[in-house]
Amino acid sequence: MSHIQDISVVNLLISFSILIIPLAGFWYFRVGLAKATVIALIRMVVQLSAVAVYLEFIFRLNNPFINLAWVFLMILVGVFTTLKRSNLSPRLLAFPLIISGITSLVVIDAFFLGFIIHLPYVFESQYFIPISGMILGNAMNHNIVGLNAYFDGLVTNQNLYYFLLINGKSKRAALNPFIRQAMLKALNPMVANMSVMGLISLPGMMTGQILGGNSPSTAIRYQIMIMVAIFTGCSINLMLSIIFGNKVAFDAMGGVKRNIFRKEKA
Amino acid sequence: MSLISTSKLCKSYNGKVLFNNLSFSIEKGDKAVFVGDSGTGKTTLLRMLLGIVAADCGSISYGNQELSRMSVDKIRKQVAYLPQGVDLFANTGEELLYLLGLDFSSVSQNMVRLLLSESAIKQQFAELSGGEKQRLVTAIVLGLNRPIIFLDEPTSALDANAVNALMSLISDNPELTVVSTSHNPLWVEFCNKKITL
Repeated sequence: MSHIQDISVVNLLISFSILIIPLAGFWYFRVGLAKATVIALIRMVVQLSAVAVYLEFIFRLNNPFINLAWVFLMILVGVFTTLKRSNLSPRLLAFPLIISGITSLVVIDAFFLGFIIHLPYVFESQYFIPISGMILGNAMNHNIVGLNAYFDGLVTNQNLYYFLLINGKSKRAALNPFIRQAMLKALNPMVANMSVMGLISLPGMMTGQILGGNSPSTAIRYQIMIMVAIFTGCSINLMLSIIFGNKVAFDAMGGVKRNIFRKEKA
Repeated sequence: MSLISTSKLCKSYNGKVLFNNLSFSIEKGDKAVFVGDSGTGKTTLLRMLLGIVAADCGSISYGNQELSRMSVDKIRKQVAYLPQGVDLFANTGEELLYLLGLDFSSVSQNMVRLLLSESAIKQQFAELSGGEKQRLVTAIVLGLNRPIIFLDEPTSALDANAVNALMSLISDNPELTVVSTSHNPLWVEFCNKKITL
């Protein structure tokens, strides 16, 4: 395999010129997305450039404490973004979600990095940080959908919850329909995505490895492993977030606390 | 000793006083109904008795046991509850039976008494009329065979025949205690205890 062809900064800047096509389309059809697109692009460039700088630094140090601190920071950012995007109370749910994030990551990293890839040093920054980041990034997206569906369902369809609870079901059984719905909404798209992988979607990790000079078979093995890791990590994270969240989301009479949302629902 | 009693209950919602110093008692076998204009707190009061909504002041007792975080689970094991908006529950009556862990045999007789065909249990709720849905869920709730039953507007979607069928079914069990809300004069007349809000 040949080494990857580097992209110069000048060429990267020139690549932005092709954006004139979608931007012209937005202008022509009065989509009103041009300003948001430009802002998003600027943010992406700034954020990724910053990541490049500190990842270079972190990779050079390769210190387990710094690597752990970095992953913990990613968990915190993921949790607070999830809570903000799902309109849920950080005061009530931040701690349960942080514990869920840590637990799911410990399980996945220990299993895949320690047992499957068999790394002699599990905190090796080259593996530990990007794989943890992929799992956390995906878990965040699916948690936003799942937790929002769960708590929103409990509030908007509280008749069903109280119907089951008062008519003799345990709290756990009364919550089951809502947990099922949340899991389906959050994880169904990932199942669908896995089923067409390679046919109508070429995953980023595999493409990146091939571009980086690895053989397609190695890239595909990594891709399969990371998909299993992401799916398992997201499922564990969502289940634990709901289980731990349930510990703080209900009052003593079994009702959903009204302040579970940042802005209370009517 | 009364089966259910309240002492000096009060509740406000959004700054509006719904009721104040409300005390009443319900005996075993009573058919009680909360009456009053819309927005006077009938459903809220029913939900307070079930521990869904907290009172601002006062107390609720079941026998000699005060409704509290310690006793709520135990008390809920003695009651059944039919809320409003029954169409939000599930896709079919069969699914509802499954969720409640009930057998069809425990509700089939109630369905017939409430003028429903047994096949309604398998029909999608979306295919049933409002009255059929209400009768079906009522039949299921009665099938739980609890000594106290809470019915929130149980006749809101029923015609006179169906209301009579429901009253006849409930009358057959003099031991059954009913706590309800209603605007329906037939139902209000049927109940022996009226609590006006």
